[in-house]
Amino acid sequence: MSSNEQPRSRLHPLSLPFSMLTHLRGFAIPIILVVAFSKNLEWESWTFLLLVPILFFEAWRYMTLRYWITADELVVTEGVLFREERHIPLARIQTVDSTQNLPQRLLGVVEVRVETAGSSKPEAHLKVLSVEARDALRAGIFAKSTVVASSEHAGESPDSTESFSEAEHEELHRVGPTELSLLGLNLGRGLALLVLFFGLAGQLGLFDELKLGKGIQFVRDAFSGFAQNGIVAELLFELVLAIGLVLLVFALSVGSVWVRLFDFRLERRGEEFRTQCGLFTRHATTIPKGRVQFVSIQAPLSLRMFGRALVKVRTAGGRSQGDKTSATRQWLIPVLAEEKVASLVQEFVPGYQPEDLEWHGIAKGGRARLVRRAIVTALLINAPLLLVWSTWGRFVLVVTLPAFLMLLASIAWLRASRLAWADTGDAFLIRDGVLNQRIAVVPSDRLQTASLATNPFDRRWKMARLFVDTAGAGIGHQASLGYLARDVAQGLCDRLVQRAEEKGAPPLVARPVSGSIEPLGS
Amino acid sequence: MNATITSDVPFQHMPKEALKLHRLRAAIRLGVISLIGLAALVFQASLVDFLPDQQLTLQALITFLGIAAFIIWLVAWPPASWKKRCWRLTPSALELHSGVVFQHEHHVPRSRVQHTEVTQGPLQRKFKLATLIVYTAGERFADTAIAGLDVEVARGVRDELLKPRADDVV
Repeated sequence: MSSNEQPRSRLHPLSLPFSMLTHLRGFAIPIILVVAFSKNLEWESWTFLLLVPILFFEAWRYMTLRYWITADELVVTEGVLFREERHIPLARIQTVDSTQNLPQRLLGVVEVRVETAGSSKPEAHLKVLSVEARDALRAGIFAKSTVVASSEHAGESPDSTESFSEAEHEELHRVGPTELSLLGLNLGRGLALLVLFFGLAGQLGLFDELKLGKGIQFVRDAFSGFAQNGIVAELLFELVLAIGLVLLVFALSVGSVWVRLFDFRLERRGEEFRTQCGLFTRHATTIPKGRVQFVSIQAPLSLRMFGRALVKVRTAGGRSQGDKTSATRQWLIPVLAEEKVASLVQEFVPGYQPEDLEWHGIAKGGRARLVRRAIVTALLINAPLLLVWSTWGRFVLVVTLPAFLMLLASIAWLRASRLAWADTGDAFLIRDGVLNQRIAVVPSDRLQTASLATNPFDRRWKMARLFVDTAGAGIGHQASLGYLARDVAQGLCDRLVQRAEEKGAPPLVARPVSGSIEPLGS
Repeated sequence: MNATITSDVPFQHMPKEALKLHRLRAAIRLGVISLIGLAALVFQASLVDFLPDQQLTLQALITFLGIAAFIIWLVAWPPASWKKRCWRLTPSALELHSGVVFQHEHHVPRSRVQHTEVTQGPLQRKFKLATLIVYTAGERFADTAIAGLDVEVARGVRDELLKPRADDVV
């Protein structure tokens, strides 16, 4: 590849310290252990020598890494003797992610990941570039965009948003602090954090009598001094404890949402979308228009009460999990007013008209099956109580069994009316959920496979479940619909496959490569 | 492929060899599991001094019941599974039906095929069988594997799927 289109660039000189910091973080726990548990640091400190080869490796990497953009490729080379040269076709690039943690923000450098479809790792991980170099790279990759402005600086001080004088730039959505707090009022997330918090506190010995126990005892004593009656004091104490716990749950939840999504904004610049968010570590993602594979509209009860919903968008980039960046690969528009959802989804799925949608429900016997299943579930949940055949057990059963039956059966009843599909020709939609209402939007030309599944019950009632798979589906929201009449499901499956075939392969898909592996023996 | 949605291409079942291979595999699995079970039994018997007879009898009963269940499985499962598995290649898609209790019908539009793979294990080679794996860019059903195809058929389907097409959008 000739490189005369653009000069070869190298990483920012601060790359070395930042890479070493990452490695040091990996060493943090051993270091603490060594310092804490060894009286003489003679041989233990030798372990730090392990860092020396890493330092050499990183220095070597910094000195030899070059990247540049040719007419249609991003090229990254590394090494001199064993030279690795990666060519990433620009047309295949799904997203360009950039992250800045607090020190990186102060120093004006940024960590950049370039994602293509199919690979589990980022195709190019450039750590770190200057903000200007990142903008130049981004502009080079998405050549249509002429904007070479630092969005991160805008992120630091909200006032400088005005500095984007480019006509192309349009802010589609922005989430204010109040709305973010609404998102934080999600009980589940708070509870998960609480468990984490107590786990951590337990590990650190916060529960030793000296600290927390004494604290609680102090409050308890204060209450018993306050109220003369012992029982009243005890009840008051329990109440305060419960309220305190709930407040803690919400505080943790809201806090975590703030750290992750503070000052979220979604912008359109010509042919690409850009999001940024984060309180300490700013995270920016750029997605070319037409790379969106799957849109999920969700309105959990906690948001719906305030007339809000959230939208999740998936591209085909980076399908692996377990990486700390995976949360950002599922691209999220955290909170928005319900009436804004339609116009926003139209940005990703042209032709999405929620008011024209014609929803089709599930098969006739579907509701009966759902309710029956709910009843069986309620009975199974309560079955262990049958074994406790004491007065106490029977009493609990008398209360819990009807409660579970009522709750689960009524949810099942409502769910039967919620479950539905719609087909606009451009997109296939699946509606689900009673408490957490969800709509999956699958653009027709993005469909990868369609499948039908039947279990013995489905066959007994002549029903089937339809699965629609796209490159961005998977984690979180599965596009599938059960309890469909068998022939309806079959017809839908055939129609969707036929249409996908007629619309041709989406831009994501390369010409099929003959990658077959011939058996050795034949 | 114009107006008709369902194609008239007939479904094809796997060759008889696939059933034989299926049985052989089940037999090998059964053999290994029975050996482990018997070994456990012998080991138990060697400790007979320390174990009450009742417990030993129970142990033996469980082992033999297990082996009996496996023999039924060996006889009944392979033909059932073989009978349910069939495929066809229509002008628009590759379809695969499989599963006995939980049945699946996969439809892979031809234009969505990313790459394909034909693999042969040592046993499959004996029976001149192969597995055709079709990969898409999807997530949950990213690979569809048709196991137990005749080698030549597998290669034929692969070549057919990889044929360059006029409307292929890159």
